[in-house]
Amino acid sequence: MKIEPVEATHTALPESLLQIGGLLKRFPGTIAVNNVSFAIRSGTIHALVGENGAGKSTIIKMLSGVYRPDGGEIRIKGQPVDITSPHVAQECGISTVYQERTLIANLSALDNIFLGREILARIGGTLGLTDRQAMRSAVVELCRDFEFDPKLLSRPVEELSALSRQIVEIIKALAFRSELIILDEPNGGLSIHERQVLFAQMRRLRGRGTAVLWVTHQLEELAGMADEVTVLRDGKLVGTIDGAEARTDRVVRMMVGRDVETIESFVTGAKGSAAIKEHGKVVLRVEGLSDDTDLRDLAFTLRRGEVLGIGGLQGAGCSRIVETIIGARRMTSGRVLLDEKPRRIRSTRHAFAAGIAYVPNERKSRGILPTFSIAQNISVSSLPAFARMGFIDRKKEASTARGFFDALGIRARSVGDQIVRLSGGNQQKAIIARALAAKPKVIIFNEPTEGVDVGAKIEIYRLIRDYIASGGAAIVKSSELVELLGLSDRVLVMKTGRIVGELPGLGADQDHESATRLEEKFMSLAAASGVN
Amino acid sequence: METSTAFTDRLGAVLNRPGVGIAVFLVLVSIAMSFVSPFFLTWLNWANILNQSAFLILLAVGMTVVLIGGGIDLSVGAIAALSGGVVAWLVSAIGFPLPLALLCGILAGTLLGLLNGLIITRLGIPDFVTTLATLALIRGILLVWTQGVPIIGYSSNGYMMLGGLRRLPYGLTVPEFITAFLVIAGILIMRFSRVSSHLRAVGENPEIARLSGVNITRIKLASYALSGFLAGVVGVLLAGRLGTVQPNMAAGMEIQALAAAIIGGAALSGGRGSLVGAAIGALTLVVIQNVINLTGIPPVFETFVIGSVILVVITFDRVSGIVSGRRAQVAG
Repeated sequence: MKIEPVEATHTALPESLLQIGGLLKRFPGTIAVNNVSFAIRSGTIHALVGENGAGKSTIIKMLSGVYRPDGGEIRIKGQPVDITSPHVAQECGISTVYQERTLIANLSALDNIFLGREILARIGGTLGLTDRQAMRSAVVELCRDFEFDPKLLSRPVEELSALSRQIVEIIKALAFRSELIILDEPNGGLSIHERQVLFAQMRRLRGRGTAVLWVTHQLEELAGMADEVTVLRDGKLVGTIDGAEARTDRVVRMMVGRDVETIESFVTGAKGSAAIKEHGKVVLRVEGLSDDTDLRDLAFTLRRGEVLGIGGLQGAGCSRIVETIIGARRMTSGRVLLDEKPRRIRSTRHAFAAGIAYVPNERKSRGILPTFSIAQNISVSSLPAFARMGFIDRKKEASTARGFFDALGIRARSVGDQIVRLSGGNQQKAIIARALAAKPKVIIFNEPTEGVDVGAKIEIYRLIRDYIASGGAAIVKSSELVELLGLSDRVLVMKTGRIVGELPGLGADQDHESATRLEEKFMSLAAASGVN
Repeated sequence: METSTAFTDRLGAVLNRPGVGIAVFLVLVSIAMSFVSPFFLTWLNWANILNQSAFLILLAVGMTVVLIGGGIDLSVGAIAALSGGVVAWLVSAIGFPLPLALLCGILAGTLLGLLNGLIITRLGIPDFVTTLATLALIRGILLVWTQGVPIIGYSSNGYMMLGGLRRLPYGLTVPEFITAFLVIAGILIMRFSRVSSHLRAVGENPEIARLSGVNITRIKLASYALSGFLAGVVGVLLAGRLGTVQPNMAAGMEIQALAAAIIGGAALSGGRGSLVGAAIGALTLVVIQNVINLTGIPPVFETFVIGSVILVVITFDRVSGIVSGRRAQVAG
């Protein structure tokens, strides 16, 4: 592909391509995007940053036609548009590389790239006949740029490596002359060289007059790449600043803000004594854990009275570790010891029997049993304890549930109500009650406050702390950095299936480093590029 | 790793294509049978096999298209019967000319298929439940309509020729040509049209298909309409071959079509399947019947043998898939 002259960037004054005004999106129990306004100009790279849950993905999904906004407006070149479907987004000139993989395993790379936007043959095009030669030659240069062998275009993507699949995703978005290209954290898992290629492509797009909306966690790259940086926090706009002024410390300060203080003060208050407290003996020990993905030889311990955090960027393997420990995924080697005795945990049932309770992520699909009552949802993991002559003792079940209502502050009309009637926060507390009812030695929390509002978050943090104070031990996997650092005594930092470092939690930290400083340390470990 | 195209890799990839396993099975059975029965490899026997398999191949191909799109069509046997009934009734009771009656029969099948698609896409009722219901509904309509009495008195020389009861030179029959034409057209469409990738995308992951801008409703409707059309074609030809339309005509053929599609490499979970595989699968089922006839195995064993073959072929497929890591997924 020819390198276009640099002057092209400046020939036309960049004008506002897309304007977002007062954008609003509600989800049950939370406002994901709250009155956000900013504009993206043609021929610029516009970065969108914020912590997990800040609302970046929700905004992108509204621009791509996946979600409908509940309020506000989107204008393209001054005209209000109603992006009702992904197809409409494409027609508006918006292409998106999503965070999640969006390839069809059984289709060839070429078919995936052009899925829904095939180049039709001149003869028979109305019958849907495609011009494969034209499609191939339209992307062959992009393939070369990304060092993707064009011969692989005809292979089903399921036969390609993870890296090649990622490149196919990027080519899929770049292959069309869109006016706005949205890259949602596209650089996870790319090598330094491939990132450079991607950056060169982004600059080339900018030179062509395309707008690039770039969602990234790599804050140190902002200053060099972005023309403008929009920062979000808790679904609200913090501000849009000039790319040249987007130094990491400034952006981090904008990103974290008040929320940190709340949690920080909570944590230091609760942990005032905990910081000095001696932890008990080792209750859970993991040795040499490997699996058939990229988890390799992981080893760590958890002591009584301790919260061990596990964190890393998307795809680092944090979820896989906890799912492997509780037996939902298979390990290829390694072992798990409870109270220093090896236990074979090959299903979640084994895990509960061994004394490891699990609070899963994705509450709607993995946590709640929607048609069951709250009491039934609480008792389901420890039914033998509620059994009398082979039948469930409903009275005992209800009274136990009532006990948890008081202890955990679950607010509901009655224990017999269907769990789906509760707010997200109360549902999550009921799921935690389920784990507690099993009287476990260890509770593993996977995203403990996913989809709950800020007030309920603090309550859930208190529940976890209370459980620890009563002699329990917990592993917390969280992608919310403040939560992870705030809750944990120690944090294991993961990258590509390996533990790349350990940080002290906030408050447990001897040097009493600030949250911002710890976050930076975490990011520099988790996002260190090119180290394998 | 990917760029290395070692011979074994290639061989593994070829063996993993849907339908290849069953083709190998078919060849092995044929070779074995040629030693058991000298009649097996004669042209006359294969002319019979082809004539018998023409209908099942069409239904299996339709079923495969629906399966690839993530659906299932249990109503094809009933649709075939009703389409045949429409032709027989129009000719015998109303006096329609045969070509017009045939068109009406095929149209009826297509519309019934479209109805399946509309119920599934508009009402959001699962594919399995919908077609299970329409299977009973359509068969029920035929029963009420005929009052259980077969429709007769519509047959003619031309219709018998069309149905394959009378043969062309070399023992060939008209349904064989119709089947060959439709299957080849289908293969070409699946090879060169975007419909194929849209269908696979919808079947494998409707959400991704939607994000990519594929019109899921249209794809679903088209796949069920096609299945209904093919069932209609089978029904009107079968009516010609049988000379009477019994209310239970083609009953159970949906299960055979499903079996043929699956041993031909189609996945019930959607996204995968091969038209060639489905045709070979259907052919295999008919060859098994033929083998049972020729070797003097009591015909009561036929169903048992077919069940065993399905299980063996699917197990072989699964095991080879695991060995070559085709199903291996890299978790994020």
